[in-house]
Amino acid sequence: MEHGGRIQAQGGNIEESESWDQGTPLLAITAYEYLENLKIKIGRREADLRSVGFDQAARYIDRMHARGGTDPAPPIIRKSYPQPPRPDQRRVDIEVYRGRAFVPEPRRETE
Amino acid sequence: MISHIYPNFLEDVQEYKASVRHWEELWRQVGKCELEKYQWTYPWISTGSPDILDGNPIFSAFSPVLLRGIRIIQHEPTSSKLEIQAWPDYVGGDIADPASIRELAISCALSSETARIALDLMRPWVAGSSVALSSETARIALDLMRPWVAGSSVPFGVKAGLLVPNTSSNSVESFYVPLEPAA
Repeated sequence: MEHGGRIQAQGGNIEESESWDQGTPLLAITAYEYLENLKIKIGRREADLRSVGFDQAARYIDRMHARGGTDPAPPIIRKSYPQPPRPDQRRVDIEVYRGRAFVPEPRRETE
Repeated sequence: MISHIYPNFLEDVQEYKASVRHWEELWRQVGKCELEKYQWTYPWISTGSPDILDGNPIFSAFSPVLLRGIRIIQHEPTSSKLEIQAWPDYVGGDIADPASIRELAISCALSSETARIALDLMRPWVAGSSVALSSETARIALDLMRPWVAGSSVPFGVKAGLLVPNTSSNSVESFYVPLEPAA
């Protein structure tokens, strides 16, 4: 597949992820869904402890979405949030290891 | 009291570029022999686009020989204290995947002290060894931490903190660097 990556919640004895490996670039709207799925997977308490990390990760996706997604065929992308990190290492990581991600939804053809 | 370097790097493009150069210069101090022997190259990881200047990461390098990487994240200082953390991670897989890349991640507000600690962490890593600090850097770090350690109920110090936290294992898997007391 041409496009792959994962979004992870790590630290605090937790390692949960949402990953993709597909023929089309990951939509930003799907990435937001992955963030929400991760919050459910790790539970409310752990999600709350990572609230700043989740917010910063969402802001990064916002930023990439606004510019049309990550660059075509860039090197690996890895982001760790929050920055500065929490002392207990609870964090949210974004990894795009192949292709593009966080692209807008394709425009529908209008009559 | 820490004197931070390029504290406004996220607002000032010139400071950002200077920060990048600072890390590149530090990288050259890691050791030419090891860099050549293990075919280390940089940059390795993208921020997402060349116009995304968020310091996450500000420097990265990769060795295809060792299947190891280094990722440096620079953040704005939030205090006059030493601000640095480091942790091991895996890229493209997990600990069980032999094809995954082992990564040393360091996040810090740039200062001469954090740069020195980062250099001390990187040197053994680029040579294929476990991460540990020299006794001199450990002493500096401990001196800087002592005021917070003294007022903290968290078990924190040489053993539990930065230097070689697990006395039974010096491997990167057990390596963890909280340079500030846990919340």
